[in-house]
Amino acid sequence: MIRRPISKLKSVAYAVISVTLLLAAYTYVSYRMHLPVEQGGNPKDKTIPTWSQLAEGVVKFTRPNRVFLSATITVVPNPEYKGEKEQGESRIDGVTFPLGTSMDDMKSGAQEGYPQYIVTGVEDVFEEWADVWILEDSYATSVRLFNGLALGVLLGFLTGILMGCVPSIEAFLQPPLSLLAKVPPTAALAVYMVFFGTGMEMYVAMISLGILPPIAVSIYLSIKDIPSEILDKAYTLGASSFEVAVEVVFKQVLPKFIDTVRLCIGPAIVFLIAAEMLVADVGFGYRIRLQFKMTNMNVVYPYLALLAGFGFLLDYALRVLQAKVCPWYQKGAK
Amino acid sequence: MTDAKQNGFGLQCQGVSHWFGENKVLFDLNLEVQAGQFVGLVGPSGCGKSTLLRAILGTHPPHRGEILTLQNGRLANADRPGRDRGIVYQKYSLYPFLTALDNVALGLKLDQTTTAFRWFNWGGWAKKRREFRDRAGAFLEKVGLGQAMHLYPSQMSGGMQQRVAIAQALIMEPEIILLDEPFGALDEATREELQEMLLRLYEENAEVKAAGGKPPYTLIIVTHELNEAIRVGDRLVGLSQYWDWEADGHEHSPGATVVYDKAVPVFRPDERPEYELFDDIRREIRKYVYNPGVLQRRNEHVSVDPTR
Repeated sequence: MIRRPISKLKSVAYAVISVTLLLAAYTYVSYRMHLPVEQGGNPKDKTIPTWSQLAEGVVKFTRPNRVFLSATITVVPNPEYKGEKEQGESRIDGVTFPLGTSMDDMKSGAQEGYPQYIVTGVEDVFEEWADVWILEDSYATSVRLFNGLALGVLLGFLTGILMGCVPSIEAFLQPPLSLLAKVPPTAALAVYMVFFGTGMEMYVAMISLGILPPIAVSIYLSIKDIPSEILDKAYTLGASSFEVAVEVVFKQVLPKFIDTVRLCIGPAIVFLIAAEMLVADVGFGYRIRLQFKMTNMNVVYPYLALLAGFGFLLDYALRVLQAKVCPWYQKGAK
Repeated sequence: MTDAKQNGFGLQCQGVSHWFGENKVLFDLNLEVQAGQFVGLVGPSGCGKSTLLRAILGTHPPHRGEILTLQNGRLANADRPGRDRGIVYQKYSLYPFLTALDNVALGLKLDQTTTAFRWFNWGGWAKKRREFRDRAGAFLEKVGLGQAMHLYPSQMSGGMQQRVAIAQALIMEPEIILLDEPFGALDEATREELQEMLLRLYEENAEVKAAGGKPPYTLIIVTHELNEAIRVGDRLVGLSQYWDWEADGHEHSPGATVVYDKAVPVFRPDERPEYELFDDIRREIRKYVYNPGVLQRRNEHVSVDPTR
C-alpha cells in the first residue's frame, strides 16, 4: 500500500545501509583506481584518493603550515642610535623568530630588528602556529556569509513586509524585484566587482542582493495569503495599523520567514563560493579552486564535506529556532 | 439625541444601499437595533447578508446611506472597523499563533496599551500583561474553557475555537457583536451548546435591564439556519431581494432590503428547543423572505418596534 508507515527502527536501518553502501562504493572505486598499472590502474592517482590519501589531505589543512617562535623582548633605549628615537618602551610583545632559533640568536636577531634599542633579554618564548588553512578559510568564508545573509535577510524581510502591507510600495517595487530575481548573481559577478571591488563589500552585496528577491517575494506572498478576516478582526480589537503589522502580520509570517531563510542558505553559499573561486585569496572557494588545480582531491573532498556539514548545521539551528519562537507552527497542522 | 435614548442605542442603518457595478445588492435598508437585542439575520443566498455585515463592520462601507454606532460615547459613522463592534467569523476566527488565553487577552492588550508602552516600559507592561491574562483567564472559565487556556487553536476542536472567539469579542465589551455564520461548521450537539451559551448572555442582559442598567450584550447573528435564528434571537430580520419593487416604481430589481422584521419568542438556555414551535415562524419566513414567487410590499411584515 502506498505511504504505509514503517517503524522507526526500520527507517534508521535503511539510513545506515544507505550510508554504508555509499562509503563501500567509494572504497571500491578508489581501490580499482589504485590497482597496479598492468591491471589498468594508476597507483599514483589523486582524483579518487584512498582513505589514507584523504587522511593526508586532512592533516594538510588542519596542521599549521608555518610554525615559529614568538617572544617578548626587554629593551632599553640605545643612546648611540642616530635615527628617529622611539621613547618609553621597555617590553615589546610578539617578536617572531624561525622555529629552532637559539636563545642567543634570538637576542642578536632582535637587536638587528630594533636598532633603536638595546635588547637586554628575551622572555616568554612560545611556539606560534599560523596558516592553518581550515581555520583561516572557515573564518573568512563564514564572516562573508553571515554578513551577506544578515543584510540580505534584513532587506528582504523589510521589502516583503512593506510590499505586503502597502499596495503602492508593492506596485513600485514589483518591476525591479522581478528583474533582480531573474538575474543570476553568479552571472552578474562582473557587475558586483565593478561597483564594489573585490573586498568584503562585494561578497556582501552579491549574497544579499542574490537572496533578497526570494525572501521578499516569499514574505510578500505569505502576507497576501493571510485571510483578511484576521486583519479586520484586529481592528475591532482596538489595533492601529502599525499594531496590525507588528502583532498580527509579523507573527503570522514569522515561521514561513524562517523557512525561507533556511531555503536561502544553499543559494547564498553557492554565490559566495563562486565569487571566492574567482577573486578571493583565502576562503573555501579559493582553497578548493587552488587545490583542485593541483589535483589535491584529498583536500577538495573533505572541504566539500565540511561545506555540506556547515550548511546542515545552519539549517538545523534555524529549525530549532523556529520550533522555539513559533511553537504553534507545525508542518501539516491545520 | 438624549442620554436616555442613547442608553438603549445599539446600531442604526439609514438608507443603506450598495451595489457592485450592475449588480444591485442592498437597497434603501433601514434597521435600528436596540442595546440588548439579539437579532437573527436571515435571507436567501445572494441577498447581501455578508455585504450588510461587512458594511456594519466598516471594512466595506456602503455606497449610499449611513451606519451609525456609538463610538467613544458619541454617535458616529461606522466607516471603518473599530473596537465598538466585535466580530466572530465562521472560519479564521482565532489567531493561530496565540494560545486561547492570549487570543482573549489580545483585545485588552491592543486596546489598552500602546506599542511604545509595551516596547519601552517593560515593568509596566509586565504588570498589565498579568492583569490582562487574569481577566482573560476568568472569562474563559466563565465560558467553560478553564482547561483549554494554554492550547493553540490548532489543538482545539471547532466548538472550543468558536467559544474562544466569542470570548475574544465579548471581553472588549463592544456596543454590538456581529456573528457571521458562527456555528456553521459545527456538529448539531456543539451548536446547541453554543446557542445555550449565547442564551445565557441574553439572561444576563435581562437581569441588568431589570436592575435598570444598560444591557451589556447586543448581537446580530447571521445564519442560514432558521431554527438557530429563532432560538437565539429575540428578533428576526429577513433580508430579501424578493419584494414588490414594481409597486414602488422600479423597473429593475433595486436590490435586497428588510422585508421581515418581527419579535420572536425568547427561550431560556436550559429549555430544550421544541422546534415544532418554530414551524409557524419558519413557514412565514420561507414564504415572505425565501420564496421568489411571493412578492409583498416591503413594509408589510416589518414591525415598527419589534421587541418593545
